[in-house]
Amino acid sequence: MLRVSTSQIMESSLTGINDAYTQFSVAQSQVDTGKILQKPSDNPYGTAQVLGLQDQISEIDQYGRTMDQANGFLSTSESALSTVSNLLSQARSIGIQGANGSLGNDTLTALAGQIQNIIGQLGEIGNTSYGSQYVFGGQRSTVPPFAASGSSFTYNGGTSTTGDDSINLTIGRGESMTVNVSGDKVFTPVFAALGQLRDDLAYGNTNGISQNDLAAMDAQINNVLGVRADFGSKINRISETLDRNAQTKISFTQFVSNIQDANIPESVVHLQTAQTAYQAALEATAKTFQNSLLDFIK
Amino acid sequence: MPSTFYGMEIGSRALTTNQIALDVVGQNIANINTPGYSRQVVDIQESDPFTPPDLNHTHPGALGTGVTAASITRVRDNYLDQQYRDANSQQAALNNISDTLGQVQSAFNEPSTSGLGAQMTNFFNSFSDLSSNPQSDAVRSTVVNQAQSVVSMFHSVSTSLSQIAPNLQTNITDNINNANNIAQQIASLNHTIRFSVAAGDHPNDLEDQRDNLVDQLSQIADVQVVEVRDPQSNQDTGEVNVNVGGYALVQGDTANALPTQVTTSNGVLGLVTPSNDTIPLNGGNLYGLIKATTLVSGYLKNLDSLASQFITSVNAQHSLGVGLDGQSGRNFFTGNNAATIAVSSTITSNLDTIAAAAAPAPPNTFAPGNGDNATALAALSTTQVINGFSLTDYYNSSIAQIGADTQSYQNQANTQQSVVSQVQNQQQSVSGVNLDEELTKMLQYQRSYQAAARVINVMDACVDQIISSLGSTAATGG
Repeated sequence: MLRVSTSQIMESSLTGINDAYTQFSVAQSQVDTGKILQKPSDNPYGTAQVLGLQDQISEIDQYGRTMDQANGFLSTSESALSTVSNLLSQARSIGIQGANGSLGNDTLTALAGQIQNIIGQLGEIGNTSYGSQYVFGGQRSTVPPFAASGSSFTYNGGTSTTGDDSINLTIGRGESMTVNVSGDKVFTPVFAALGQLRDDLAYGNTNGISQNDLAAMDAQINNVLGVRADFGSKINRISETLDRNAQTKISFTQFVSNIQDANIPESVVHLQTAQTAYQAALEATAKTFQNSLLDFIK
Repeated sequence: MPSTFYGMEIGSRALTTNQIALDVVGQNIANINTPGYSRQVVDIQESDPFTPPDLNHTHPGALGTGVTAASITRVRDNYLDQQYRDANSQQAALNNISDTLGQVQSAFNEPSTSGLGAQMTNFFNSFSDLSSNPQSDAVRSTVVNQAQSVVSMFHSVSTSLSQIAPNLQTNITDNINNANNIAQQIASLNHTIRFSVAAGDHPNDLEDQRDNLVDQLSQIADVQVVEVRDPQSNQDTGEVNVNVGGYALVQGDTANALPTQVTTSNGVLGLVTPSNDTIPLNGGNLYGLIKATTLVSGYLKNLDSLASQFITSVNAQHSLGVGLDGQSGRNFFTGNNAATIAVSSTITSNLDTIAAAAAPAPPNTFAPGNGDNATALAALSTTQVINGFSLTDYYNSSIAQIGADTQSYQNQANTQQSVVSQVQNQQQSVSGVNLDEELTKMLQYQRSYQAAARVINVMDACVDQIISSLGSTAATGG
């Protein structure tokens, strides 16, 4: 027969109470914090996953901010270029009027004045800015890219020749996007073509207008349309990427939650079970020490 | 032929013996809660018979002379003692390691969205913001603020980790002093016990005290206990020698102090004597604390490599780019580990020196809207620059490693706790006092005492009969 000493009973009661209490406090802390992963040692592999996923979520958020910036740049440029398209259409109509050949000098001069007016407006549009950056200045974004010079404008922004024309933003891992067009690619040839048209109108060179200038107008209109189409598709691509990233972020956040968060109903049941076990341990201990031989010795 | 008072003497011996037995019961009950106490039992024997057998047959054979308490001995199992000490040493070591790793975990305070890993990611993200807005002072100042956050995170974790080691060292010294103190007491008990044993006594309580001290010692280091025998008679002298890793800590009545010099060379954790001998340790607080020290210094080393690689990578990329003033070749961070990392004062004093732009290819000149170098700096967050890991992945895997180490030592400590409890239970089962048992014995010895008193009473009545009845005539005649 196994001999049991009095202190053994006491020790095992204490151990029982302690174990039950530990279980109870672990269950309670899970309910209180709503987390089952509180320390790396709770789940080392899960911790690595959570940290990795949090980094990726942070990366997605960052790409999101960059894409917002890219979107702002592209939309501002696109909207400016749409005005350019309108102005070019107006200039073309004026050119068609001027090519008529039956107009008087006064009328032609007036038409030339309208073209000059359009050139002035285009100069302003060329200096459109987004935030503190001039969108058509390439990387020389701190100074206005177009400066008035005589009846036209000169371009002071970055060019492909000097290697400072494009603004590239990273919108995903290893995914770079050019979000601008430098003024020399759009505005400079427009100014040249409009200048020619204005001069031909002023000098009544209707042949020049009908044979060359209108065609030059069409070429510029097409050039601007091409750039706008490119921007439009980039804006679409950003919007699609943002949607996709939002989905990815939701599922990553869900993964993190699955690993880290307590299932509350389940945890509450655990807590109740632990509480019951703790109470049982206390009651058992209280009953154990109620009797000894002393109670029966007279 | 025995004397007239022979029966009274038998009764008297029974009274004495039962008295002693009751005293032992009292001692057991008194010490029911004393740590390290072993219950004592009386060895009750018949006393030697009155005469050796002879041929005269003057009485019906050898007559009993009553009872005697031959000895009082403690009930103890030496094998369980050694088992307990081994288990206790392991438990103490594991507890120290898992406690320390708990502190390491809280130093990192992960998983969190504001830990060092998150701060590094935020820092690289701020460069991504800078790449789309290179000339903005607001964004530049965000970059510097994020850098300061990373720096203060590195400092904070490094300080927390660095503070653990001196605490462990103090703890080691305290434990060694404690062990030396205990060794002295054991040596002095050895001395007393040897004399007592030589005089034929059982110094139970002193032996309990000594065993208790050895148990305490097993908490500090893994001890081996050897009972000392007399070289001539081969009898137990009652002394014990206590060894730690082959070092004679207690030799009879002399204690040799443990040295305080710690060694971890060649993977052997232990102490080094002044004569340069290594005392290898395998358990106890000392082993645990030394092991914990090596683990913490390993984690600190990893943190320093991370900081150093972080500084080097950022500086290398940063110095390639040019600031708003058109200058290149500047470092972003100074320092070379987690404790010394700082944002360069050049950067903090002039935000324009942050090199967001890539250096232009000659003869081209610098353009302020160029954010290509900031893009390259942001890309460092996912570039594999340290042991095939990116900086954040390296950090994350370090955290997972610390978590796995902590979990493993905690599990081992929990398991070992059960082993210790199991052995303690067995010890208690053998040596512990059971109150009901002692009370039963008390009743038994009390009744025996009463009966022995009754025997004396009867003997007295018989003698009274002789004295009173036989003497009355003589008295009358006189």
